[in-house]
Amino acid sequence: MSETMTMDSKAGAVGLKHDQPLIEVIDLFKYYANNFVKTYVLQDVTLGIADGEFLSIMGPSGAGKSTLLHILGMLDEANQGQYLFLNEPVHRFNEKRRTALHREHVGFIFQAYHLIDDLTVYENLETPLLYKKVKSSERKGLVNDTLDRFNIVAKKDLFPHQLSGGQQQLVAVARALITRPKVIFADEPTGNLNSKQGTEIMEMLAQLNREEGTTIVQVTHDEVKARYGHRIIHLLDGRIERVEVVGDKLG
Amino acid sequence: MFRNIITIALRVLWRQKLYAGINLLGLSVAIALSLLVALFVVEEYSYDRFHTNADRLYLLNQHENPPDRDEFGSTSTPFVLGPSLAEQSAAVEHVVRLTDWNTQARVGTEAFDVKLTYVDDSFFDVFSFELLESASANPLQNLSGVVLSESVAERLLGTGPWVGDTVLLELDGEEAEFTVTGVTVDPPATSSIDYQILVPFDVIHRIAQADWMTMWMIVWPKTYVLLQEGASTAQLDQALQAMYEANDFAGMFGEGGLWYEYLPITDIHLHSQFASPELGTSSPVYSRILLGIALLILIVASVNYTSLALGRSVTRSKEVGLRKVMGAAGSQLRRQFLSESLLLAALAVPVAWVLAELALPWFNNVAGRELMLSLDPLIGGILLALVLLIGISSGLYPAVVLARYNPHRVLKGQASVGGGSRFIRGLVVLQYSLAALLLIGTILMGQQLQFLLNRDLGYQGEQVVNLSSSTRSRDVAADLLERFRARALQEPGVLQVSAVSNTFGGVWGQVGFDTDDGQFMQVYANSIDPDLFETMDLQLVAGREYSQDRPGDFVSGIIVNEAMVRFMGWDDPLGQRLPCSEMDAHEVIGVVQDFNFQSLHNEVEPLVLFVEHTALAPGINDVVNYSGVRNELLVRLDGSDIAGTMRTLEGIWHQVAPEMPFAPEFLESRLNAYYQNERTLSGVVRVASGLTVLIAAMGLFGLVSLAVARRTKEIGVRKVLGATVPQILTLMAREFSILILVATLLAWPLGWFAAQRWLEGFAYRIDLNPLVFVVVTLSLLVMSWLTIVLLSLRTATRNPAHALRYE
Repeated sequence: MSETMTMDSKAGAVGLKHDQPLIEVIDLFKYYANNFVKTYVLQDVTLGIADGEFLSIMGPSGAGKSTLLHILGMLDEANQGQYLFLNEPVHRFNEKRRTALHREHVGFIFQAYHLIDDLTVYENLETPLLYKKVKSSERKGLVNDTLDRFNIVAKKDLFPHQLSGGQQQLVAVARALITRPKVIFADEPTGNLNSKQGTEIMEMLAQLNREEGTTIVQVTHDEVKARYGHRIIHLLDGRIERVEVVGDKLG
Repeated sequence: MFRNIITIALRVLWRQKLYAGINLLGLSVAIALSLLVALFVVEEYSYDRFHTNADRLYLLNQHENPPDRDEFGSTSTPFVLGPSLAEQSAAVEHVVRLTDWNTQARVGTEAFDVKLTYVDDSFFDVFSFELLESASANPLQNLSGVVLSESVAERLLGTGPWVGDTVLLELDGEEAEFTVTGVTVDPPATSSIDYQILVPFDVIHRIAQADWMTMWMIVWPKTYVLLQEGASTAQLDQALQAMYEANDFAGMFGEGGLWYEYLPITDIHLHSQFASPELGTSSPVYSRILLGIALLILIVASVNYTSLALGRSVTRSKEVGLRKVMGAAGSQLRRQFLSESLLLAALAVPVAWVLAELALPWFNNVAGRELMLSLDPLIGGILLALVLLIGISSGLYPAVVLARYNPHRVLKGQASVGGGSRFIRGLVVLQYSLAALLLIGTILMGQQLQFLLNRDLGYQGEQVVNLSSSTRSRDVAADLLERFRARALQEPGVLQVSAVSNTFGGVWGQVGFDTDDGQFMQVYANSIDPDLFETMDLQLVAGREYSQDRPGDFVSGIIVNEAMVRFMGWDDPLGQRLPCSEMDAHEVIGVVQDFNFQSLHNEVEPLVLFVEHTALAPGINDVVNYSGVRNELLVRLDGSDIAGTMRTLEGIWHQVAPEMPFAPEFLESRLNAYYQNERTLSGVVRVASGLTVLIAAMGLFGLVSLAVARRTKEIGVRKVLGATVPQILTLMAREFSILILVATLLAWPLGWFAAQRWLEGFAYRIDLNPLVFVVVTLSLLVMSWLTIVLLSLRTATRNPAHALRYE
C-alpha cells in the first residue's frame, strides 16, 4: 500500500498542468456478498487523478475496470474506502448529494453508445440540461451550438436506430460534453467502432483534453488507444498491478 | 421539462400499443362507470337544494309513543299545527301545509287521472318553484283557482297560454269547476315535492270535516316551516312546549308521548325511513352500493396498469440507468414515470366520456333516473380528481421501483426482475378475488330472483288482469263491479271477475283494535268480493266460502288464513270471533290456506278477509292503508286470444265507466314489481362482474404475453432438452392457475357471507349451493388457460433454435 501511495504522489508530481488532484480514492474495496462468501471486485485501490489528466485503465475481462469507472463516476458505491472529489468526501454523501455532484461535473461515454431509443438526437442532447434545470433559451443555444460543433445538425430529428454506430457514438460524446463536465469517463468508447471511426473519437477526446483541459478517464483493451493517456493503470483481479507513465506525453 | 416528459410518455405509450390499449380500455370503462355513478350520487345529494331558502326550511316529523304501542313517526301532522306555530312563534317566517289527493280531472268529455296537491297560499313565498304564467301576484289566494305544472297544463288543456281556462275536478264524488290562475315550470327532478295541480288549502274542506281543522288527534297534511333568518329550531321547541301544555298533550298521548323532529328539507330525500311514495325518498344505500362498485372497477383497472408497468420494468431499466448517468435524480425519474400513468388516465377521459354517453340510456333505465351528461365544474372536478387518483395510485409504486434501479448494475446487464414480481402476484390475486366475488353474487342473485318468480304463491296469478278504478266511493265501486261483471262474463275469453279493496302485487291494509284484555292487536285485513276464491283459485282448508245462498255471511262471516289461526292459538277456528267485544257479532266461517299476499321478503302474516267490515268497525281504532272500497277489479282470462279479449274488455269498461280511464295491468307484472330493487341491484352487479372479468382478463392477457416474452429462451432450452408442447403449456399455466385458485378460494367465504346477508332479507330463499362457488373458480381458471394457451402456443411450438439464436 505504501508503494502505491508513493507512486500516486509521484504521479501528482510529474508536472501536469495542475497539481490540484481532481479525484483521490484511498483503500477502496468493492465486493458482492453471496451465500456468506464475499467476491471481491476491487481490492485496496488507491489512486489520484489530477485535474486535466488523461488516464487510461487497462486489464483483462473481470479485472474490475468498469466497476472502478462507475465508482469514480458516482454511478456506484464502494463498500469500503474513501473517495474525494475536489476534496469533497463523496463516500460520506447520500444519493441526493452524489447525484448533484455527478450531474454538475461528470460526463459518461459507453461502448454501446447508450442513447435513449425513444428520444431524437436533439432530445438526447437536451436531456442532461433538463436534469440540470438549465433555462429553456439557454438550453436551446447550448444544444444548437453542440450540434454545430459536432457537425450533426442535419441529424437532429433522427432517432438513434436511424444512425450508424459511429454517428451514435458521436452523439454520445456530444451528450457527455454538453454540460461542460470537469471529467469524462469513457468505458471502451471505441469498442464497437471500426478503426477509422475509433481513431476519430480518440482524437476528439485527446483534443478536448489538450485544448479545454477536460479530465478524461477511459477504460480500454487496446494498447494503442491506451497510449492516448498520460498514465495507464493496469488492473488485475481488482488490484492495481502497476502504473505506467506514458513517456511521450510528459512535459 | 413538462413538454419533454409528455413527449416521451406519448412515445412510450405509442411504442407499447398492446399495454397502452389494455390500460386505456380498462381505465376508460372504469372512468365511464364512475362518471355515471357520480351523476347519480350528485343528483341524490342535490335534492331540494334549489330552494333559495333551503337552509331555513324544515319538514316536521311527528313522533308518538302511546302506551302499549310501538313508537312511530310520521310526516302526517294535525291541521292545526302549522297555523298555531305561525301564530305563536316569532321564529317562524312562514308555514306551508301540503297534502296530496288523487282524483280525476275532466276537460270537456275527456277524463284524466290527476294528483291534486293542497297547499297554503304561502307556497310560492317558501319554495322556489318558478311561475310561468300568473293571474295575480299570488295565484293561490283565489279559492276557485288552481295552479298547474306546465306538463299537466299541456296534457289537460293543450297549448298555452292557460290562465283563465277551466277544469272540472272531482272532489268527494262531485265535480267542481276551477279556473287556472297560474302555471309553473315543472318541479325539478331533484324536488321532493312533486305536484301536478296546486289547489288552495282551504278547498280541503270539501274532503275533510270542519272540526278536524282544530283537532290535535287528527293527522293528515305535512307541515313545512320556513324559519326567520338567524332563528333556530330550539325556538320552535319552546313554542311547541307551550302548545303541549296549553292543549294537554300529556293527557292525550301520555307524558312525553308526542314530540316533533325537524327535518332539514335537503335531508328528506335520503331519509328512507320516511319512504312515503309522495316524497319519493331514496336510500343512501343505493349511492353507497354504486360507489362501491365504481371503486371496485377502478381498483381492478388501476391494478392492470400497476402490474403491467411492473412487469415491463426490466425493459425500461436501461433507460433509467442512462437517465441517471445523465444526471437524473430519483425524484425526477419518479415524476417522469408518474406523469406517464397520469397521462394515460387523462387520455382515458375522452374515451370514457363517449362510453358514458353510450351507456347513459341503459343506466337511466336501471336507476330510474333521467340523468344527463354535461361538463359542469363539479363533474370536471370529479374527472380531474379521478385522473389524479388513478394516475397516482396506479403509477406510484412502479415509479418508485423503476427509479430505484442502480445504473451501474443495469448497464452491466445485471438488472433482476426487480422487486415487483411478488407485488404483481398480490395484485392478480386481488383482481381475481373481486371478479370471483362479483360472479358469485351475480349467479346467486339470479338464482334467488328466479326462485321468487317461480314460487307457488298459494294462488294463481297468471292470466289475471287487474283493473283499477280510482273511485273512493263504496257504492260507486260496487255498482261498477256488478255492471262490468255482468257484461264481461258473457265474453268467451273471460273466466271469472271479482274485486278487492287491496289488490295483489300491492300493499295490503291493516286494522288495529284493543282486545278485551287491553292488548293492542294489528292484523292484515281485506274487503273482498265473494267470487275472489274462484277468481284467484284460493284454497279453503276448513269451513265454507262466501256464497249468495248465505247472505248473512257477507256481514258477519270472516275468513282467516292459517297464520291467523296459529297467531290466535285457535284449536278449532270455525265459529271463533276476534277478541274484542266492542265489535258486533261475527264468526270465522272458513280458513283459507296461507297465500303470499305480500312480497316474498315477508312470511305469510295473520290475515282476516270479509265482504263488509260493518261488524268489525265499532272495535277498530287504527287503520293503515285500508279503505274497504272494493275498487280493484280482478279478471281471470282463459288465455286464448288475450289481445282480443283485452280490446273487448276496454270497450265494456268505456261503456260502464265512461268517466274513468281504462288501466289494465297483468298481475304477473305487478308481482314482478315487488322485486324491482333486487332486479336493479342484480342487473348492476351483473354488469359490474362482466366488466371486472373483462378488465381482469385483459390484464392477464398482458401479463401472460410479458411472461412468454421473458421466458422465450427458457422455453427454447426446455424444448432442446425434450419437453413436449403440453408440458411447456402446463409450465406457463401453472403460476397463474395457482394465483387464480388462491384468489377465488379467498372469495368463497366472503361471497358466502355476503350472500347470506343479502338472502336474510327474504322470508323465502334459496339454499346456497356450493357448486356455484366451484363453477366460478373453474370458469375463471378455464378462461385463464385459454388466454395462456392462445399466447404461449406460438412460442411453444416454434423451433427452439429460433428462440436461442436471437438470445
